[in-house]
Amino acid sequence: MTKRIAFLFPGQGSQAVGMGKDLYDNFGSVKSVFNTADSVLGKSITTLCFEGPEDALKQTVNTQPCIVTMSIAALEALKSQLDIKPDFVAGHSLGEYCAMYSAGVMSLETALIAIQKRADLMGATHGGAMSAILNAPEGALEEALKEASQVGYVDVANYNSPAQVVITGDEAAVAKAGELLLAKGARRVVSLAVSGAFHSKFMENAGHEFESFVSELELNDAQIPVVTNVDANPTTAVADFRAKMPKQIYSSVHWTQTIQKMASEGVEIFVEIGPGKVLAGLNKKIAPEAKVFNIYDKASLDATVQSLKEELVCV
Amino acid sequence: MGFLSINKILGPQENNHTNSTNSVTNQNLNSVFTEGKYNITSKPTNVIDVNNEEDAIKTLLNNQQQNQEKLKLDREFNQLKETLLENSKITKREDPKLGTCYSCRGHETNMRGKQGAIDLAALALRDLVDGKKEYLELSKKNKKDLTDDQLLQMFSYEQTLKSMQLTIDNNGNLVNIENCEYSY
Repeated sequence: MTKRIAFLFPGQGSQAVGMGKDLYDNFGSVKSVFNTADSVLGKSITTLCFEGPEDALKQTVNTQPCIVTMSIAALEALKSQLDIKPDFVAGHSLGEYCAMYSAGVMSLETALIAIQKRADLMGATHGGAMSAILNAPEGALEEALKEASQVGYVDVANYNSPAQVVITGDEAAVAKAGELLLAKGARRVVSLAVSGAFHSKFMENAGHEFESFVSELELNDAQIPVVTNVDANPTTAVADFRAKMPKQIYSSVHWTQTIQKMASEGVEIFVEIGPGKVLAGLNKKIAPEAKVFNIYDKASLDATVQSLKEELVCV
Repeated sequence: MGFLSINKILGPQENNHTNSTNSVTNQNLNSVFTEGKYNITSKPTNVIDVNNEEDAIKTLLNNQQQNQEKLKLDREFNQLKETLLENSKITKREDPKLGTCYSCRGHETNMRGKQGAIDLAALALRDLVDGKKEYLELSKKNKKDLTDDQLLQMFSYEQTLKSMQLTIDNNGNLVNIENCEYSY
């Protein structure tokens, strides 16, 4: 019996100027993905990824299509080196579009158009704030959010790991929750530089507008189960994707639960495909017994391919 | 009376750069940006000429500012030392050639024990705290406009950060690499 494996795709926060350049210089399949992105989106994703400037790359309208392009390019590089089909795929927030592409739900062109539309809608929605909360004691989060709700709206945007949660909502309420959490023993509270309060009710209008856009997209049933952010459930039916894509914009990302679900289904190997190693770091806190490999440049691809060959032989 | 002791105005000057409870001294190893820096703040002008009132006030304010900055750096360093080093896992391993080794955030000491490992890492941490402002200013500039020395300073600072498994987050704080990667 071979070991079960899952592909993971990172979300916003993983971007860095220079991402994908090394893969682009070494793989024709990667060049093709970047060229398609430039052509479909009518702007130089290649330049934004490789040269920045960082201020432009950090803008939501650019960050999302850039990360999706780089992650899909890295996936294609992997596929050119190894014939492998994962048991599950999942992506963190915008990374879910890479997961859906990987599962055959949408073509590259559709993934690019969809993520650009999502980025435009989210980037245009201003107001609110987000903060990362590190190492909050058990129970402190619920108490703090309840208390801070007296100041304004605040909710959980991302359940990233048992040691990291991102909160979202009214600026004053998010600040109040941060103060309360520090007082209750959280290790750190870090304000995130975002254009708006992602995964909150601030994004409901964007979500509803996205709903009509998604209804026009050409989508297919998934060939590999996609464990979705909104409910951490394996999803394959196209109708479910159409319903969950808009909802994801204004709902909490259940990443901890997503990894736990896959681990409970017997996944022992996770491969993070895309820029950075954020998800690998989170994974160590969620499922420390599982192995995590990364693919973000040629060296990491070579190392991961070698490791996967060794891991996936019949045992 | 032509001279006035500044202590009469401000009270005793704090000059506790070298904390008695902390074994880090000004003799930094691999100093990044701090060379000569302590000389500026370690000898505050204790007397000023009251005949030149404007200069006296400027000197006074300057000394106050320097002292405040130094205290701020000391506070940051002591807080980081406590959270990053003393609370961190100091690993102990057996090396057949060297005997018992301790390693702390990339810095290894041989036969110096846990406290030795912390002290050695603290020296590098002090450099990072003191050099952060200058590093951030340099990092905002176009690399083409920097001199070779400045590029070397930046490289050295970044290598020290890397070896300490630290980074500077969006808010300008020195943090653990693991604790500054957020996804949203």
